[in-house]
Amino acid sequence: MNDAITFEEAQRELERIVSQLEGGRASLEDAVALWERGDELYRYCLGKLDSAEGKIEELGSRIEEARP
Amino acid sequence: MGRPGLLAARGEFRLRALTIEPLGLGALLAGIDQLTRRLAGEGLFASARKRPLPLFPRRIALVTGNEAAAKRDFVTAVTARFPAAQIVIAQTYVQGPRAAPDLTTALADIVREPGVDVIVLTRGGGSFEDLLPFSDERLVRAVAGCPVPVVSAVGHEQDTPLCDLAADARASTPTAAARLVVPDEGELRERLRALRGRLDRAPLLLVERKRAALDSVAGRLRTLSHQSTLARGYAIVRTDTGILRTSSSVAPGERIDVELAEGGLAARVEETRR
Repeated sequence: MNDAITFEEAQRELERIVSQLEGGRASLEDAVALWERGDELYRYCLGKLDSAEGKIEELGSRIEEARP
Repeated sequence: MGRPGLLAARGEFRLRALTIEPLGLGALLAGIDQLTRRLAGEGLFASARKRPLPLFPRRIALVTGNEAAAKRDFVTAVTARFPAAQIVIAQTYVQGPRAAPDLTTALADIVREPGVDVIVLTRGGGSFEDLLPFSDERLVRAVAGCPVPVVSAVGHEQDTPLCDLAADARASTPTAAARLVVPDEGELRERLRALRGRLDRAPLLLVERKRAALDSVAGRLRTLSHQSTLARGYAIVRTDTGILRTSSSVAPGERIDVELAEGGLAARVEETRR
């Protein structure tokens, strides 16, 4: 999936797809494509949670140097 | 300016105030009050300007002083809620004459860091004068004009430096700021799991819904076609064994039932013809 999409956007789209399917607004033909997209979004979100690694960096020294 | 007076007869010493001039804290307060009104007049503190914070920030920027406590509290709270958080920290002077320009520069610098989509400005508690840099016009304008949302967690609950008003969100402590900027990972996973369940149940639900709709349409169609035929003058004749289609299936004297468009008849066969 396009990595430009944020976790938030992916989760929101997933929510929209789920309620669209639940609401019975989708045609059976579209439902398959919607479900596949939902599945993809779920995996993307989970992947983001699983793969993310915490990191703490200090920018302080650079600011120190920049100071006269 | 005042004038002292001694009333010896009554044993009183009086100090009469003639004019009042702003000085020290009073002058500072008046200045801040004026700045507050001016910036508010420009709409800098308007709630319409406040941007929502990202649910899942890619990178969190922390602009803070070199005091260990605020930084430690923030980092601890963030990583407890969301172990995968990416934090980039800029340390600046947060007090004294260098603080305001320093904070402004730090804000401009850190916003250029790739992936930063929320900034937390924090400083522990201090005296009114200690917190003054956070009401500096340049810094307040930089906070309001920052391209990414800013959370201000400066001083204690009762302090309201102007950058608190200009920020997109304010928190009373660094720990509270952490709760604003990162989601709880457990909750996030729980929500995803719930969505997964709903997603998997949805197709069956949809098919059932479609089937129910189809059944109801089919039912209506059946009634309609049968009714419209009767309305045109046809009748349905039934015996105990079902719909009568040929005269040879019935004998004279047998009971038959006739269904009409409106109502029906119970009748007896008089004669059959081929």
